[in-house]
Amino acid sequence: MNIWTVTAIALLVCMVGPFLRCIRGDAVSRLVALEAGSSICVIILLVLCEAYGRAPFVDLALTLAILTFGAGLVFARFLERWL
Amino acid sequence: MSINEIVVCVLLVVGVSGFAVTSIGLLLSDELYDQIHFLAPGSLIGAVAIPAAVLVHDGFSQAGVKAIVIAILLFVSNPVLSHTTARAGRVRRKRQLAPAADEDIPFAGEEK
Repeated sequence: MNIWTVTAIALLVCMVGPFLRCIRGDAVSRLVALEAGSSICVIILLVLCEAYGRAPFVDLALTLAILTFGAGLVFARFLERWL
Repeated sequence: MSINEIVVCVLLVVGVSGFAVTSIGLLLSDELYDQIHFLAPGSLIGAVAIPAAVLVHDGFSQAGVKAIVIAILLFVSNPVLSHTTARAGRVRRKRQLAPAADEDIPFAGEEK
């Protein structure tokens, strides 16, 4: 257990807010919660790479950051027009 | 404890508190636009402070440089996503983007 693992656990606790908002909210509120949860996930992956000394796995966090941006845009467009 | 470790600890605490503000804000606020506002602390403070801690810890290694790219990505994508989400929320509620007849929203520069 080092400082990075403690940070990852603290960030997991921060996931509770977006998770609960995803459960009880209307469609757009759930999208907001998804965006918040995704950015927390990106940082958790980054911190876990530091915690276990696995630098190559930072690519996972980088990929999720890119996909989060695209997904948010597509979701918002669908909510605006078709859903 | 060296200076480096102290700086890393401070940055991590600042980062986690940014995300904590986002998490609590999302829970407590019921208005959509307030929730969108609460995305900012996490994505702007948290997503910059924690990659900065990685950079201080690892220097300009592979992980450090990628942490910078992640911070830039999250820093830039948050305002864009917030705007897009707010726009979707408005169109879903009002069925149009422009102000409706019954809405008294002065455009920038117009006297109310």
